[in-house]
Amino acid sequence: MPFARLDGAEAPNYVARDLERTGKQPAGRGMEVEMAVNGEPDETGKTGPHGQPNADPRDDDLDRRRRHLEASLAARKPARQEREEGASGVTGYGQAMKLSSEFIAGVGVGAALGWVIDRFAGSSPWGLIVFLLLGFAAGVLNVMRSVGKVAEFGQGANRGPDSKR
Amino acid sequence: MEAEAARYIGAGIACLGMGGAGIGLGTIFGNYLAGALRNPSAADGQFGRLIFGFAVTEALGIFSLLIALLALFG
Amino acid sequence: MASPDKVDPIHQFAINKIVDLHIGGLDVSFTNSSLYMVVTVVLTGAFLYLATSSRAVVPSRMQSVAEMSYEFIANMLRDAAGEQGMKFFPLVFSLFMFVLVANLIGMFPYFFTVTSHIIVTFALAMLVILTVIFYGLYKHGLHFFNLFVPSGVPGILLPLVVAIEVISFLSRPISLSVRLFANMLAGHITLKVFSGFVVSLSALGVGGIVGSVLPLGMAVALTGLEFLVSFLQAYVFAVLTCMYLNDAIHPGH
Repeated sequence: MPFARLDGAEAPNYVARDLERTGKQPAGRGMEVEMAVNGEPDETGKTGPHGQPNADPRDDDLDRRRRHLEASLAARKPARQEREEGASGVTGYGQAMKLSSEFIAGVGVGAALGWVIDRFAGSSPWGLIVFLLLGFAAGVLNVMRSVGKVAEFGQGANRGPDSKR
Repeated sequence: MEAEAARYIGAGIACLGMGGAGIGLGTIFGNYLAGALRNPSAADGQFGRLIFGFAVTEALGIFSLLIALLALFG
Repeated sequence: MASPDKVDPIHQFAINKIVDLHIGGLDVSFTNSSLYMVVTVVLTGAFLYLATSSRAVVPSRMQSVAEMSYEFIANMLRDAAGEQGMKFFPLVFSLFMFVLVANLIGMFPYFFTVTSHIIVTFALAMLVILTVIFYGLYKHGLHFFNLFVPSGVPGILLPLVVAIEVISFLSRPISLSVRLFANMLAGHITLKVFSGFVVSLSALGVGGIVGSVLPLGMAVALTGLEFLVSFLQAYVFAVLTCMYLNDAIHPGH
C-alpha cells in the first residue's frame, strides 16, 4: 500500500519543502487531504474525516523535533553554564577572582607541600624549590582548566593522546 | 644588624622581582586585548600563546617568590 | 578613617564567646559564629519544613520556592554527575542551602557573616573533598588513582605530570574555600567602608550631608551587588561540588 505510509511519521516529507518551512498548517493539511482523496482509501483502519489523523503526524514531527532541540540544548547547557555562569560571570570581577584564586591555590599548595616534605625529610631547600615550581605548573593547569582550554580532570584516560592539548 | 632582620629585609627585596612580573603580565594581557579588539576573529586562536606568555612571565615572578620563601623559611 | 567615632571595617568579623566552654583542654566555646550557624540551620530547616508541610498540588508561594530550589539543585547534580550522582543530593542540597542562607543572613546590618571566615569555608570544602576521596576509594579501589594519570603521556614525563595533577587536585579545596571566603569578606568590608564614608562625611556639616549622598548611593548599589554575589557564590560552590563528585563517581571517564 503506497499511500498507507502517508499516515506515518514520514508524511510531512511529502510536503514541498517551502511549504514545510513556512509552517502554514492549512497548506500542508490541504495538500495531504488532496493526496488522500486522489488515492485509494488508506486501509489503516482509521475512519472519519481525514483532517484529524493527518494533523497528528505533523504535530508529532514538530514535537519530536522540539524534543530533539531541547535535548541538544540541555546537552550543551552544562558546559556553557560552568564556563559562564559558573565562573560567576555576571561581573568580570568574579571571573578574575576565580582565575586568580585557582592560580594562587596551585602555587600555595605546592609551596606548602614542599615545606612539609623538607621539614620531615630534611632535604632543606630542595623540596620547597621543586614543589613550588610544580605548584606553579599546577596553577597554570588549573587556570587553563577553568577557562576550558584543557581536558577536565581525569578525562582522556580512555581516549587518544590528543585529548590533552 | 641582627641576622633575623636581614633575612626579612632580603625577603622583601626579593619580592620586588614579582613587581616586574606584574608589569610584564600587564603588558602581555594589554597587548592581547588590543590585538583581540582589532581582530576579534583571531583572538581565540591566539589564546594558547597568551597562556604560554603568561606562564613564562609568571615563572620569573615565581622564582623571586621562591627566593623570598627560601629567605623566610629555607 | 579619620572620624573620631572610629569606623572599623574589620570589627564586624570579630568572634565573641557567648558561653565559655572547655572540654578536655579544647576550647569548644559557643561563639557568635556558632550561634549564627545554628540560626542558619534552624531557619533553613524550618523554612523547608513549613513550606512542604501542606504539600498542595497547586503550590503556595513558599512551597514553590522550596520546590524550585530542589529542582534547581537536582538538575544541576543530574547534569554534572548523572543519575548515579543523585545519591549525593542531600549533601549538595544541604551545602547549597547552608551557604546561601548564611550569606543572606549576613546581609542584615549588624549580623554576623559565617562564611566570611576561612575556617568555616575550608571545613565545608574539606567535607566535599574528603567525600570525593573516600567515596572514590570505596567505589573504585585503587582504580580511583587513575584520576591522576592522564593517558597519552610519555613515560619519562609521567612522574612530573602525576605530581602536577596531584597538586592540582589538592589545590581544589583551597581555591573552593578561598573563593567563597574572599568574596564575602571583600564585599562586607567594601560595604562597611562606604557606609563609614556616609557617617564621617555627614559629621562635617551641611556640605558633608549633601556630599554623603554619593557614598550612600554607592552603598545601596553595593548592597544589591552583594545579594547577587551571595547567591552566585552559593551556586558556584554547589556547581563545583557536583563536578568534583563526578570525578569520584566516574574517575577516568
